[in-house]
Amino acid sequence: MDTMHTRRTFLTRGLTVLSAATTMPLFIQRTCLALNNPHDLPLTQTAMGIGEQILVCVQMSGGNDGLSTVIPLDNDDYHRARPTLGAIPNPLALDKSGVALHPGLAGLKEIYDGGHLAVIQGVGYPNPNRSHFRSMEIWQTADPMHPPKDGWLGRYFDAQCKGSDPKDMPDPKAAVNIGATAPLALQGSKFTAISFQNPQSYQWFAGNKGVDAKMRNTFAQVNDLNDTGDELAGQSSGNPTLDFLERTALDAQLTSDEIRAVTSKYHPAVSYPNTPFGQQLQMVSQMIAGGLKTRVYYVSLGGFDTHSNEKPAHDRLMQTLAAGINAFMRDLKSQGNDQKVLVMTFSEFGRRVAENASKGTDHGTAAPMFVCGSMVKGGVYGAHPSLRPQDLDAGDLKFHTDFRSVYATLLGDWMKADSAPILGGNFRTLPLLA
Amino acid sequence: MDNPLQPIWESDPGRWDFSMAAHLLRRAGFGGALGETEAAAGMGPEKAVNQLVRFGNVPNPGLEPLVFGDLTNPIDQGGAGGARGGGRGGLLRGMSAEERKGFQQIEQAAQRAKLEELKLWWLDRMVRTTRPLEEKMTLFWHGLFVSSAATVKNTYLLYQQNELFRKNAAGNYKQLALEVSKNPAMLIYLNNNDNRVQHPNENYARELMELFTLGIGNYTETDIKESARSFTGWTNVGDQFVFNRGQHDEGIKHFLGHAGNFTGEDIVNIIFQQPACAKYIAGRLVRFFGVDEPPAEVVEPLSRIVAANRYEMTPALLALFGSKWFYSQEVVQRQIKSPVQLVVGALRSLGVPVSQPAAVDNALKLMGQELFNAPTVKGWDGGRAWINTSTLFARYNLPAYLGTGKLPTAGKGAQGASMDMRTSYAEFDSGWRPDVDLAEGGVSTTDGVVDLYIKKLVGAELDARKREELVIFMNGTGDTKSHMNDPLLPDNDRRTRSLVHLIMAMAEYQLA
Repeated sequence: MDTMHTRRTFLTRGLTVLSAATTMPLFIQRTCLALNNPHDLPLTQTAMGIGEQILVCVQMSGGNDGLSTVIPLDNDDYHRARPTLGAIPNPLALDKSGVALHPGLAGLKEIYDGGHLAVIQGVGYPNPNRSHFRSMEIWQTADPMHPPKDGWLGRYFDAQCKGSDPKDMPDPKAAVNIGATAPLALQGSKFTAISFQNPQSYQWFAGNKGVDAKMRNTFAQVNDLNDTGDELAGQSSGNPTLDFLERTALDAQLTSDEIRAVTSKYHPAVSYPNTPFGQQLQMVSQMIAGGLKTRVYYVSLGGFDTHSNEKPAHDRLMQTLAAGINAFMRDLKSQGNDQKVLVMTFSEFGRRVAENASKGTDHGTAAPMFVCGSMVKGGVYGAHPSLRPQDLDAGDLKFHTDFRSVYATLLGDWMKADSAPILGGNFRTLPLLA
Repeated sequence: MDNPLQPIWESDPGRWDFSMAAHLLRRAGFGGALGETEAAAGMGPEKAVNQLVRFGNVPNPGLEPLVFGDLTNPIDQGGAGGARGGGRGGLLRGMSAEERKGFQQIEQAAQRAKLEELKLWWLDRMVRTTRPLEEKMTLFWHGLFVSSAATVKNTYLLYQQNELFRKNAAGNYKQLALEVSKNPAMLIYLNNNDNRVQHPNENYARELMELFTLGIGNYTETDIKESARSFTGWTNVGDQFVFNRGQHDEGIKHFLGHAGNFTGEDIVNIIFQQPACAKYIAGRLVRFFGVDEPPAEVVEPLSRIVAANRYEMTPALLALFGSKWFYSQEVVQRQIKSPVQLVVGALRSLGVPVSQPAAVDNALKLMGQELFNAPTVKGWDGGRAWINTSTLFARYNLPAYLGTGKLPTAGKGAQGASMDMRTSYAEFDSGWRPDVDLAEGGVSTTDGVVDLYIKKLVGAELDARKREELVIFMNGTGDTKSHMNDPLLPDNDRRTRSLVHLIMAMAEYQLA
């Protein structure tokens, strides 16, 4: 066997070489998620790890105004606190729950009517923090008590690999972030996800005709991208920053060809809204259709920090959110992958009950979350938090459902993982899954 | 007791060389051209640090203000709303709905165009300045007192704010915080222009303490509410700060243990009496210029220097850049260059101007640092957060962007147009002449070419095995000692360009 082949060769050739354990490259060693049983060749064709369930996280950055998202009906306190913002024509009532979806969320209402949208009300955590950054850290780490270290999904991936060897890491492709900034949620103490904005630019370009192959070879050599002996030994340069960069370059190089191939193969049957958010979801759908062995996809939608003149911006965001998710769900259905995928939305906090002088709202606390998918048992979960002035906490809603209960449900009932060690405790789960 | 801020010329007299000078120029600036680094290496650490930090005396010829034309004209100043106010409202009222729509489209196009001009103007300054720390500190403040074009929507006001940062680049932090609190771009960005007595808007008050001066944990939610009341009525008309007394809350406010009918000035004064404030800015300086996780034993003494000098930045910068800690193994080549530093440094080290502004702007977006459009009010996290698989490819492709001007478009969907990056980069940034570099460096062998560009671009020794690979690439034969043809053949010229691309596509080149 050629011991100088690249890890990428391994990726495309599959696992036929595994018997040669002494020359097994680092990449195969570290892909424990892909290898429940290394000698069972067909495993390479199935999703990695325990199941095929895929989680798509939708991060709504800036603090979404929950009170203009899931709207309390016939509530005088609501209209007193929000004389202008509370006037939302044609809200989409959710059966007899006493609440309605924002009219821009028609795409989600359709999923609700199909029985597959869970609206979880009053989600938050104790001693809410109203800083965007701290609260986002809390949601992403699922740890309100300690300085940020790693993310809740990163810990999930860490937990899939029990090996003591630090090189024994999951395939980075197990989690894919669409965007230029990798979220803390996906960062484990061992695991690191991959990120890209656009599959087409997700590659290294060797500039000159004629020397391309030679350049590529030298590029691989000077970046330690080949499986040479010293790489197998996991040698460190002595400079942790340099090691970190080389490790990332390796992850990038290994996943580049596959992701570009997979995303160019599938052309969706439905048309996605022409928004960056819609395009992100389309890329996710292409990767799912292409059978990429990814368990968690992470997309984001920003602009929710509506301190001033909230209505037009928030209306647009609701429309963008719902139209994107609606197209995504229809696309999955036409692929026949809808039962494998669950979508969760969250924001770092809701907003203040009373509107401010600028027809906007300041930072608040509890807010609703959406969970949808063909395996989701639709409905409204929990009551709308009370808006009576005496029930508010410094002008903000009191939460009744800890967000870690939602995480525990997704980790335990959906991803089939033991959530307690990942979340640092036992949280009541919700009956979200059919 | 050991003092990490002891000047290197006292702790290690005589210790100073090319790679230390290169380190200083990378951190306190954007990396020097070969000649600059050699000059700094020749003058010794004390003089080199002083010349960089006391840049007020350094002539900076050929850098002009950005021209905006008629500031009462929203098209000229690149934005809606009119920097000098007035005219636009009346203009719009006199229009039909259709005319208004057309006007607004023209306005938006003008805004985009002017913003591109502003970005290019600043990048060009960073590339050509003889006062690199002036621009580096401007970038520091730009990432600390964040305002983004997406919200401000007026290029002139962003330019005005940028000039404020430059004027106070190594000046007084407290003075700057006060001026920022009255800065129109900031008043718009954090909605203080909507902060009125009836319903205070807390946005500015919160970020002033959380991100600009104290850091989380050094104030309460009540302090935010009370200081927001104190800033009521602080607003702008066009490019001017205005105190609108009718919208100001004249009541008693309780803030950080003080009580009174406070205004914004009082709030800034009280904030800057807090010991946390000097510690906060010292931590930010150490993180920006030093290491991702600032050690307390460096931040503490630096914060004492900041406090003792009443928030003057120059003494703190002199202490930091002169310190023996700054030249220690835990600092040198441990920081990841910001995208702006990567781009500006590449151009400075090759001695060429920004010749592909659209490509450079796009590359910066892909690398996660669009000037005047920080992702959030927190600015850019920096450090390892610059790096993921997405941004790393963008970085390693940088020479292709600079050289060909052909770019993969950011934000396009998966169906985005395919691109041809394979055109020759013979036109690599108009003006870069490898043959001139080689002649100046007196270089005629392949290993000589490799060593010349390692010195120019990395400024430190490279791992021997990697150097060998580059030499093999240059001579194409596997013989590491073969001579290059002299005069250079077209192929050697192209090879040299490819060599520069390869060096820039290495982990070592990402290190500041």
